[in-house]
Amino acid sequence: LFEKKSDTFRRFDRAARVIIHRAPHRNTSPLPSPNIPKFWRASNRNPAPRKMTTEKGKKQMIKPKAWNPLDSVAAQNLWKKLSTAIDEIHNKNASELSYEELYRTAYNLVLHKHGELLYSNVRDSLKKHMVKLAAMVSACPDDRLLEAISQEWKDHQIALVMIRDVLMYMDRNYVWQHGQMRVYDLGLQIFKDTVVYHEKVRGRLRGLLLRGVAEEREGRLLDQDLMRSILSMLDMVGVDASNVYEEEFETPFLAETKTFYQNESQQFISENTCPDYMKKVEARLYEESLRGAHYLHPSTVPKLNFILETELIENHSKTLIEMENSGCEHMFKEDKHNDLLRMYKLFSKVPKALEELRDAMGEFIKKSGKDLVAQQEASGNKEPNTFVQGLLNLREKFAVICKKAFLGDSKAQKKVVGAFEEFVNVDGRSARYLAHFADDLLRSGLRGMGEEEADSQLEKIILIFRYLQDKDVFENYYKIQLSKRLLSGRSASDECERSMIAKLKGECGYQFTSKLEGMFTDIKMSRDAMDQYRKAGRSKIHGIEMEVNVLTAGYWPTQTVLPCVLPDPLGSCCSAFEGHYLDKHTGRKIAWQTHMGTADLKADFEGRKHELNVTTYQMCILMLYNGADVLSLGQIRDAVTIPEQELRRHLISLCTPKHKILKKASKGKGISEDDTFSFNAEYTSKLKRVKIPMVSAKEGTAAELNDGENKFALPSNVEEDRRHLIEASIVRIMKTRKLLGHNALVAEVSRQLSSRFFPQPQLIKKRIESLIEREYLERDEADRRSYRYLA
Amino acid sequence: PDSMNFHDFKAFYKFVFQFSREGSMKTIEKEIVAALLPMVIGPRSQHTELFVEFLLQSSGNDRVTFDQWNSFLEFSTSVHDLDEYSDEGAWPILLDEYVEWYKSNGKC
Repeated sequence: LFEKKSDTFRRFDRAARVIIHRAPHRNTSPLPSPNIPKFWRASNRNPAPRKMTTEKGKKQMIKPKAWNPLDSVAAQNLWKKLSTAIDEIHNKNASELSYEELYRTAYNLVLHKHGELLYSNVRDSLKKHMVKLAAMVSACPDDRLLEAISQEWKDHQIALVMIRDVLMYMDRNYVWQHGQMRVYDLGLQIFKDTVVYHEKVRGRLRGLLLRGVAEEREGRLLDQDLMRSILSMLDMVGVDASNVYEEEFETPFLAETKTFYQNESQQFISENTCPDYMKKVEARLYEESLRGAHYLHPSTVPKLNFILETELIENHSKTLIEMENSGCEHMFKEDKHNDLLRMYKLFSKVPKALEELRDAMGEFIKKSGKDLVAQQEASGNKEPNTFVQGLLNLREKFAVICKKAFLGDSKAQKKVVGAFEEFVNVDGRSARYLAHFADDLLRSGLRGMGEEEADSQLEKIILIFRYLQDKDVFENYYKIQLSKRLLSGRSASDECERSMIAKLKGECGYQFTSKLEGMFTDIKMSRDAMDQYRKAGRSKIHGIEMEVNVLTAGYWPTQTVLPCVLPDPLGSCCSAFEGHYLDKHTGRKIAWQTHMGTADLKADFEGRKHELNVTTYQMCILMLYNGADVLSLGQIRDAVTIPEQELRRHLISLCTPKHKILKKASKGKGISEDDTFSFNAEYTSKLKRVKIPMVSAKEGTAAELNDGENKFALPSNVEEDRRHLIEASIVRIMKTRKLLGHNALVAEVSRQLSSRFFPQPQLIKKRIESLIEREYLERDEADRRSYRYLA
Repeated sequence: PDSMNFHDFKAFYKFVFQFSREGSMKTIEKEIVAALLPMVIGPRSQHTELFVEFLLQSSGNDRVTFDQWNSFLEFSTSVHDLDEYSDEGAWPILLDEYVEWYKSNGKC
């Protein structure tokens, strides 16, 4: 190693050099006086003349010696000394040089006003050496060029340091005063201009660097230290504001990188699956990061990353997402969490791509959800459980995906919720299926379940319920089904019913559930009232035991009462109860809901006696047969006065193959106008007590589906309720505000009703107009876009 | 009516509606309105003819309210560019439907 020996001057001089370095910069001369003694002390820095006293007591002044100007010949000689020294330094032969002497020489030259001479000669000397160097380097063949440059660069740096140290006085005085470039920098510049920019070097250098990178990308090994050395050289020689590194390397490097990855990614993606492509990208990103760490300049790394992200990820994000059989749809379906995680991590670097990924997830959810709804409808809603379970499964699936693959990304979670809300609220079908699910559970599903398990089942309902926008549709069905359950006593568990109500109250507030709770109260009160009635011995009249439920009209689902003539003994039972009740509660009115009751009939058939459990209407029809064996449709109709559709439905139910209580004269399914029905004495059944079920009128669906359009229309009472609610809301708001603009009013109404349903702006407008007509509101004279409350 | 200033005309216009009502009915049959409009507002509104046409062919609205009557005048005087008309605004639904009919029948 030559470094150790001859890059340093003699030891002594090194110490001296250290002292000089420590001196303050610029203004102060590092040396005490022009005539330097051979030795000097570090402490002797103050050049001011001092008074000294001798033994004789006389003062003696120390005067500086006389000034000896240096002429140009002498100067040249001094320079020769330095020139030789510089040569030796370049030749790595500095061990014999005295640093102190050289320093002094340079110092003297500068002091005697020969700075310019010194500086220009130094420059020329450097140039001369560089030219020699360049010639040698440029003659190197390609496979040796980089090494040669690197080596020469290293040597040059060391030499420059030594030269600079020798010329330090000049640097700090002449150079600074005359605005020249400092010696070290000058040396760099000359190196750049002479060696790097040499016509036989420059182009080759650039080419070799780029080729090295390209080959490394293809898998060949590269001398990374050499690269680093060259690149740092390029960086350092850019002293005079010219960015050599950027010009010679960075810009072409980035351009080539871009092209390379553009091509590679294009080709790879067309021949490979999405996960494989992503793995490749990961590998490449890693490789490039190593490159950045090992030999690229730090400033290049962000630019490089930008290109990588654009070419490898951003440009192909859509293709990857939509790739058939291996893209997002497949990954979501098959729960490929690892692949999705990889995609998430990669796409996180490009916000736009990440947003596309989230959108793809949203679309998948919406599509799956819509399929679920359609499937349920196609199956005729036979198994409500399938739908709700399907929804819950979908929900759970994506909860896991968000957690595992998307690392709990909050925007992704929001997207999931939004997607659910969108397809659930396309129309009221989801609400209906959910209500059926609840009905199933509360009717029988929860029977025998422990408290915790039952609770978790009910929670499922609430989870889906939260997505519903039009909650009043759900409530409508729930109310109807609850009334049926309560009246027929078919509730699996009273506790569960109450628990469900409590949960709904928690979600929507007291208003939502107050009527439902009222229904429970009614049932309880009815039970108490019946107990009293029974105790008073009034419940059994004419041998008929009657049980009555008194319902507060406002709480229960409203239905118009269809007329019906009750057979005689029953009529008096009802009157008796009515009398009893109205005595207790004056001022009330009661109406018998004949379409809802049930009756137990004792029937004598040829074989044996049976007990038939039938609806009130069925009972009315059957009771007629106490007086006749055969009756025509017209006769029955006149006697019972039930509306036609219900009449037919009930007649059919009494002559089904399974429960042929009556025999229908005509063949086929329908009832003809002149049909007759005869009592079927031969009826048999294995059971003593038989329930005669009603033939279903396809409850609910006929009324709500428009034929051919297959669109769900709102149940009529939901519509009516909404009208009332909107009007009430408008009046309430206007009463407080007195004067309000149209848009503000619409917004406020929507806000007030949002927990129940979303009111369409057009609907609100319609109600406003209706209220204007009825003189609750008027348009403001000055601003016709505002409304005024009319007291 | 043609020579009145706007303020007076507006009062007159409102009066016509009230006068034409039958007894205690608050609304007027659309055929009568169709006959009245050309007489009362006539050339003051560029929409008179078309609106009448629309009224007569529309299936839903059989009667016209006072609010709708007044709004027609307002509409004729203040809305000049139908592209700027928004059905989210405070205009009666009848006018929303009119604009929609107007646009979809290529009357633009």
